[in-house]
This record gives sequence, structure tokens and C-alpha cells, in this order.
Amino acid sequence: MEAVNFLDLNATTVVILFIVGFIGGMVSGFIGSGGAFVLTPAMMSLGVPAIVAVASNMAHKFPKALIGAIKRHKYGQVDVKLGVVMGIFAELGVFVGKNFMTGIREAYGPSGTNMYVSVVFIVTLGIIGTIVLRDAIRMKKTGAHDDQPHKTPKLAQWVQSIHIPGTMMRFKSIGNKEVSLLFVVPLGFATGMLAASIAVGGFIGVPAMIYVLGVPAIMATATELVVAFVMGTGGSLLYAWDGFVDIRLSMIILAGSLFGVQIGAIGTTYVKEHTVKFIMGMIMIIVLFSRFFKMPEYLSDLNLIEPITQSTTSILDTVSFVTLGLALASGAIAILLSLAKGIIEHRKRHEVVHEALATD
Amino acid sequence: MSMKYIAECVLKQEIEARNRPSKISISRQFLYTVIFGLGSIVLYILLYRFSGEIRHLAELTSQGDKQLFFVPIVIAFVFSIMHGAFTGHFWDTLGLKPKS
Repeated sequence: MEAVNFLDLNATTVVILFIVGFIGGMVSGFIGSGGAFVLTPAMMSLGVPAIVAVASNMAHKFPKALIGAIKRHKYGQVDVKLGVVMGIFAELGVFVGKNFMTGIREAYGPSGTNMYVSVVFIVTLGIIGTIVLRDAIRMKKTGAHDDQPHKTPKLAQWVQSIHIPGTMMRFKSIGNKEVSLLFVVPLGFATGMLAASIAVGGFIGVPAMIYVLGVPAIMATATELVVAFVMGTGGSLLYAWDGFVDIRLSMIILAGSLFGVQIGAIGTTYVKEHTVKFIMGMIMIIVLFSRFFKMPEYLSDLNLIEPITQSTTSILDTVSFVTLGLALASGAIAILLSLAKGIIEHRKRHEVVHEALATD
Repeated sequence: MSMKYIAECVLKQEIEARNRPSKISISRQFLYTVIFGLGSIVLYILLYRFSGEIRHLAELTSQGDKQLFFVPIVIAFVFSIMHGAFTGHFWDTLGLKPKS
């Protein structure tokens, strides 16, 4: 196997990685995801090979998922059984996905995996980013919000009505109803496949639990933490077995991201839901373009297009890096402004209450 | 329902929340922040000190020596627990809290 190129760390790279980790963490705390959809492309833009970026992100995510799952289990939001079952099949997906990735690397070299990961990112972020932005605009227009009473979606009602003997399993998160494992298996598998490809499995896992199985949104996001822990542990071990985990990178990013994640999580309590979704969608679409600008380089490396010149490559590198910087900076500014505005409004409301009491 | 009644309810809740015995006092909160912060600093100094060895270990693993392949995973766990505890207490100590 071709030797793995680990990034040379100097003071500048360490500072950039810390800042990227901080903003990535803030974004992840704010929108309730692992943040790898920002961190993996960011690492790639710094010159980290795709497979190392995915492996290293998995390695710093799964312990965080465990801590998060334990916290939310205390609030009764976690369906441990569903999480473990989905996690086991997600593990299978990770195994296949990881072998697929190393297969591409052996056949086409690092450019092959760079291109594969970028394509998966562009498609996934394109779909999810558009859905989230549309949802944000709809919510702003109609004033709707997500914390309405849970209604089982029609697809989930149909899934729950199918009885296949010998495959049924009962889950507390769907009101102690039974559902066939034949529906759970592909959902877990797809979640693992996506996680092994871009280090983000929740883009499939959470909507699948909500819309296909009928799990309430708050339990789905909490249960996803168990899935992320189970598949992340196995996935990290698999990637570590081949020496793809650059733990130095992971831990520098972790240093920043654990500071950021707390601010992001606190921020959500001060802003409206459509603001969270709007910022999430905006970041996703900008990150998508940062990967898009790297595509000609990968296509050229793989001889799928006419070779591009070194100067064009370096221009595209810069454009991709600046675009990613724009995504991170705009996300960070939007979150911090929303947080500051929310805190000021909250304090003003308290002052009004105190004044009203004083005048009476 | 009068404005005064609402204001009184809000203020009552606020006073009750303030008077409720906190699980961790401010001084102990600060102490935890310092302890976990120092622990984090020590871990990152060790990471910097042994970064060459860690990189070498990954290279050996990729070349077929799998004896210590699990080391990065152990490092990830230890750092997450120590640094996670530090950052959790850090913002609390600075007074940045979720909206009640």
C-alpha cells in the first residue's frame, strides 16, 4: 500500500487547525451535528489526504458521541436498543465503506479517494443543504416550529404496519411498537456507508429514524449519538488498523472544537429555530462549493480531463481554501451575532419585568 | 392576567432559582476548571513532545506492524474526557450559560 502522507505540523498549521476546530465545534453545537461536514473538507483544504481526514475525524467524534449519549440518556431521550441495533448494522456499512475507500486508494491513489469523498460531499451537502434552507424559509414565512406534538409520518405508519414473522423487534422510541429488522438493517447500513465515506452518518441516520421508523425528532438525534458511538468506535479501529488516523490532527481539532461546541449549544437557546436552520443550510452550500473548486484538479490527476497547469491548480486551491474560510467565518459571525442579539434581548426583557414591578 | 402578576411570577421564579442550593459552588466550579485545565495542558504538552513518535507509530502500523494500532483510539478517549470536562466547566465559570 502507498505510504500515508501525514501533514507536517508547524505553528501556523496548529493555529489554523485550532481555529477550524473551534468554528467547526461551534457550528456543530449550534446545529446539533458532529461538525465533520465542515471539519473533513477543512482538513482536505489544508492538504490532508481525504482518507486521513475521514479517519481522523471519526477518531475524535466517537468519544464525544458517547459523552453526549450519556448526557441525553439522563433526560430519557435515548433508545439504547435501537441505537445499538442500528449501530451494529452501521458498523457493517462502515466496514464495507472503508474497504471501498481503501480499494479506491489502491486502484487510483490518493487522488481517487479525494475525488470520491468530494463527490459524496457535493451530492450530500447539495441535497441536505437545499432541504434545510427551504425548511428555514418556510418556517420564517409561516412562523412554524419543530416542537409541535409528534405525529408519526405516513411512511413510518406503513413500515410499522408490516409484520414479517421472525424479524420483528420492539422499540420504546416508537411507543413500544414492533418494526421489522428488514427495515432497520438497510438504514443502519447506509448510515455506516456514509460515515465511512465522509465521517458524517447522521445525515442519513436521523431522517431515516424520523421518517421511516417514526421516532420523534428529539429521540432520533439522541439515539443517533449511540449509533455514532458504536459505528465510530469500530470505524476508528478499522482505519487505525491501516494507520490512517492522524491523532495529532484529531486532538488539535478537538482542543478547539470542545470550546466551540459549548458556545454553539448555548447559542441555540437564544435564537429562533429558523435562524439555526438558515445558518446550517448556508454553511453547507458554501462548503459544497469549496469542494467543487477542487474537482478539476482531481479529475486532471486521474486523467479524466485534459491536464491542467500548475498555476490553474494553485488558483483553484486558493479559491477552494478561501471559500471554505468564507463558510467558517460567515458561520461563526452569524452564530456569535445571533447569540449576542439573543442575550441582549433576554436581558432587556428581564429589565422590563423589573421596571414594571418597580412602577407598580 | 395583569402585567404585574406576570412580572411577579417571573421574579418569584428567578429568586427561587437563585436561592436553590447549587450542586457545585462557584469556588468549586473554578477549582474544577483549574484542575481539568491543567490536566488538558499536560496532555497537550505530552502530545507535542511525542508527536514524532505518534507519527512514526502510524507509519509502522500502515506498513504492517499492528502491535500498537489501538493507541490513537486510547489517546482520543483520554483527551476527550479530560478536555471535555475542562471546556464544560470553563464557560460556566465565565458565566456563559444557556437561557433559562
